[in-house]
Amino acid sequence: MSERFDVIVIGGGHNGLTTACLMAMQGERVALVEKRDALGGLAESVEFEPGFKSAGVWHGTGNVSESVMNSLGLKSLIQNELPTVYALGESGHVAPIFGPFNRTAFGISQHAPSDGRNYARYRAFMNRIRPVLSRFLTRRPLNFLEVEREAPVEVLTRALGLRFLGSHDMVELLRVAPMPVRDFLNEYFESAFIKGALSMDAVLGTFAAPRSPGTTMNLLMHESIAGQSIKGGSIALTEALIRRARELGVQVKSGNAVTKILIENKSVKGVELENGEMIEAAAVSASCNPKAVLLDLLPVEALTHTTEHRISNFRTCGTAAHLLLAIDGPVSFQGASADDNVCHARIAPTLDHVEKAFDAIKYDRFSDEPVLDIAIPTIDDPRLAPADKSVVSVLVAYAPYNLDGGWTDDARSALTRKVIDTISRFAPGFDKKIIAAKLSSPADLENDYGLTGGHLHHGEPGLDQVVIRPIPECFNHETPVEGLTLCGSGTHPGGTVSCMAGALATREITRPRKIRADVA
Amino acid sequence: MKFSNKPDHPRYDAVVVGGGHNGLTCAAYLAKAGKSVLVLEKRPVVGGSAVSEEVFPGFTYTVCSYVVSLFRPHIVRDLELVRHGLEIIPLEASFSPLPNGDSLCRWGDAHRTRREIARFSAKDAEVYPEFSLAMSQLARFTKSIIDNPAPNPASLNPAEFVQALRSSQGLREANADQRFIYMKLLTMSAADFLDQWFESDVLKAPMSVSGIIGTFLGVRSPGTAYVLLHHYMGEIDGAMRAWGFAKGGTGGISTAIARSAQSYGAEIVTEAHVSNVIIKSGKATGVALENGDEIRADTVISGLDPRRTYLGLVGKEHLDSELTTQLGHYKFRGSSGKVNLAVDRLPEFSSRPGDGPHLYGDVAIAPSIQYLEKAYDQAKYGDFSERPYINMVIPTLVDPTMAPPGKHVISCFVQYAPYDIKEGASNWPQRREAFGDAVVDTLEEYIPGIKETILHRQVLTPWDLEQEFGLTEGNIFHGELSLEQLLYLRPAAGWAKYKTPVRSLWMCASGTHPGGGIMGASGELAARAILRKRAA
Ligand SMILES: Cc1cc2nc3c(=O)[nH]c(=O)nc-3n(C[C@H](O)[C@H](O)[C@H](O)COP(=O)(O)OP(=O)(O)OC[C@H]3O[C@@H](n4cnc5c(N)ncnc54)[C@H](O)[C@@H]3O)c2cc1C
Repeated sequence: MSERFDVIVIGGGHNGLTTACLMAMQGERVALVEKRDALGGLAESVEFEPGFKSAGVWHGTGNVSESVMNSLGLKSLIQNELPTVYALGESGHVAPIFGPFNRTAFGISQHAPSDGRNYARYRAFMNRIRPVLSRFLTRRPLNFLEVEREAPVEVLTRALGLRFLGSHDMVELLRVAPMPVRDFLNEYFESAFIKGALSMDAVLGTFAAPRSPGTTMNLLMHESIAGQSIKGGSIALTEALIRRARELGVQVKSGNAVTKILIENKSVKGVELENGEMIEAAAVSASCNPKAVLLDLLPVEALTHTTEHRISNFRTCGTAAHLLLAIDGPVSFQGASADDNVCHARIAPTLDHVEKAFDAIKYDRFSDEPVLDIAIPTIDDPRLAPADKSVVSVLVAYAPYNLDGGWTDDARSALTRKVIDTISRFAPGFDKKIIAAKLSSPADLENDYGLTGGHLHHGEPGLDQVVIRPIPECFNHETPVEGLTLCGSGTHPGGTVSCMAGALATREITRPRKIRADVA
Repeated sequence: MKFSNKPDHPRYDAVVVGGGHNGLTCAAYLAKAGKSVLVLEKRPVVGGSAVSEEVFPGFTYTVCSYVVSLFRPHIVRDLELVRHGLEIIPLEASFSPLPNGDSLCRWGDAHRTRREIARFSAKDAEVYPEFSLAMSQLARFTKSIIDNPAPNPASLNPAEFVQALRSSQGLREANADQRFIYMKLLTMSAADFLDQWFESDVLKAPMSVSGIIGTFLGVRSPGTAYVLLHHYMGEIDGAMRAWGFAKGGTGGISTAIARSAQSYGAEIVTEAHVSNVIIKSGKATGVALENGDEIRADTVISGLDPRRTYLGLVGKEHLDSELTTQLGHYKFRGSSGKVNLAVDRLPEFSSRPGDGPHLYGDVAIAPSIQYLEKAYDQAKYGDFSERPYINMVIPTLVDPTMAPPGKHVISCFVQYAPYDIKEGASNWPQRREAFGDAVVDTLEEYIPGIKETILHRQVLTPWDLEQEFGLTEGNIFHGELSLEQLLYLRPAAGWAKYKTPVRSLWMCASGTHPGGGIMGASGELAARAILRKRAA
């Protein structure tokens, strides 16, 4: 006899955990199945060297949704203090690009007085459009492909929401969103390293670079969710979510992969695990990549030809590697004072650096001069390393999923070397302090975390895949299979640690399904 | 065709500055409506970038543009262009030679095309007709956008709403699947879009290039897929067909429009360089020429690009800071050049010897997506592409009068040639011949021996396009055709309806909706807007 639950959640990353908790809070009996031994997904803390632990692959928590934390009863985790992110430029230039406003504006103005003024303009614009964008990011998306079927009131209120920006900001938002982030940043700033570092919010982990149209949209979305952080960072978040899940009676089955989603009469019936075990439930919600769910876990006959074609065209080509370093002593960046206490920094000296780093992956190579998003989680959480030692976590752009010649050990060491050399240019002596290094290529990320294509966002955040995510058949977390929903970053509103996708999906799990003639 | 170089009268109902095909179209519509109209063109010939000129004795080049597809059929009828000599001959083939001695040719005949594609991929051959059908269906939706002024989403005027309904008519008729593809076309890169359908690079590369023509983007840049549609939107003689040659080069189109305009009474003056629009208390009252002459007019219409119009003819002092900022953001950054050759025999491709029908169309040097991306990557950092994308046509095959008997002219559109080379744009003249050599060297790899057949060569860099044809930063479309400067944003929010903040001054060229390419649409829509205003 197999076990029975009300809901099975596949994947125990932050989105899966969010869905599991929220469903359990509604009184459902929930099972959470995770392939890895521990929960947390990309936010899981991993011991990569005896005594040294990571803060997850996604090492920032600046995007976590406050409203979701509230509904989970984890409000106390939110702190309104913004984590400061620093841009590192050539010859010892350092400036905050994100963080408490006054300090950031001041820091930026040190390098170009006009940038300080324009930063105020930039922030003001972001603050004005935030309500509109965050409404888009925190609500059920509108299906404009079948806009006639949406409730007219709903359509009207959404349209008016945009209109309430005032005609100037509305036109400005519509003008800049499809622009390359390079053009957008050039309209505001002069300092090359500040523009370079800011552009990374738009392109990190994507198959795009500052000259790619549409990347401004990513920056705007990022700016619209960022604004608060989690006390204790991603580790505290993961721990809290796991604790909450256990309190709520979620049955966790880790170290066990789902190999099949079982279907009967076009409705979901349960899942089959790697060890042969079967679990039954009339509702299954999968937080893993939609492509993997539809193509690998469902029986072939569950999808029409068109659906299969569309989901296989969902772009999931990963472009970032993750490097963990165990460091002897603290890390000090040239030009940064001890007060700065830099725990999050970026090396992207110019927009062209970012662009050139991107060029490489088009030819299946990694960048000679990668651009880096660097976190030092031991500053906030010294437990992650032995006394007087540090952990450095680096997201490396760009590294292709399909590396010419494959991701051999040699290739991994070569990229590791390039990253260390690059950091050493901005933190002299850095290379002398390295105790251990572990690089995960996009291919490794795919193997270790089941990330299709190694894509950190579970799918390219190109405009087309943002407005309809992932495909029309799976719009709004649904799938063509009755009872099967999607709750991961491959659905609205997309990647980075925000927990929003997981929260939005729960509404679809409980919502009685509308009759849809076009879904076979 | 000869024009006078002095106006007959001191004042007109309307003066059109710039005799490009849009300026001429606008003039013809106004004259047909009974207005007295004067067109002032700086160069000795009309046509702007739709021009044919005898650059070397006996050889007529289609100097800039070389093929037509989007020219609005109702304009042909309204202005009786066929009677005035317009003749467009459809292209028979699209030929893409490969460096390895193989080649692909797509033909007017669907079966023949399938057989060609099947040599590279059986799957692609099967999908190709399906793709063409889907795209042709979508192309129809776009027509309602091109043929109507762009509605302004920020306006609360009910008339705008009606306009929005008209423009979106096509899309409202589409079903959800079609809208899905349409949305992808608007946002995806040409290469990614084609990846969804096809596997063979040999097919995808020459198809993808339509998305990059005239823009400073690569085939992997989002937003470049949209132009693929234009290839299924071509209308020649009212029939949905792809691209065509104009008899006599694209100058043939301009000449026909000019004749039509004259037949309605419009006056055309060449070698008349307008230096500024005369503005009195915020109203345009005429134009001043470089030679000091002044001509009065009730309405002045600029056929120049937005920067030349606003910052050149009008002047900053007449504009508010909001518009000046917007104009500052408006992007030109030309990315293409042109190499025109006179040869003493037809080119012989190593991959398809002889003078077969494959030469009677356009030839694309675009062997792979990576080749195109490499060309783009070089340009991003201020070099012209060593191995560029070349779109070549041989106009003498359809109009032998363009060269002495037995000889030919070859038109090569070349990308990328960035306006801002790292030496600085004004140093292009020193790089011009090197650029020409890169083009000929590239051709030599596919047409061994072509070098020896060249009698004359004309090389136009983006700098030359700016200096000679008045195209700011050498942009062939009067400004990039990217989403942020199309529709109600072209050229600036609030001023996208051919009207300008200077009373009685209007705009009618490619820097207004629906944008660049030989369409005539901007000229026509501007004339209609002006006539409506006058009638009211
Ligand atoms: C190299 C090249 C290749 C192209 N290929 C194609 C193609 O194959 N197919 C296609 O459809 N489109 C093509 N195009 C684009 C197309 O040719 C243009 O978009 C179109 O011709 C522009 O027409 P227009 O009337 O808007 O402006 P223009 O043709 O630019 O006309 C502006 C006119 O104003 C005149 N002028 C400028 N300043 C002054 C002044 N101060 N006083 C008086 N007159 C002035 C200019 O001399 C010019 O005649 C190409 C363009 C170029 C440059």
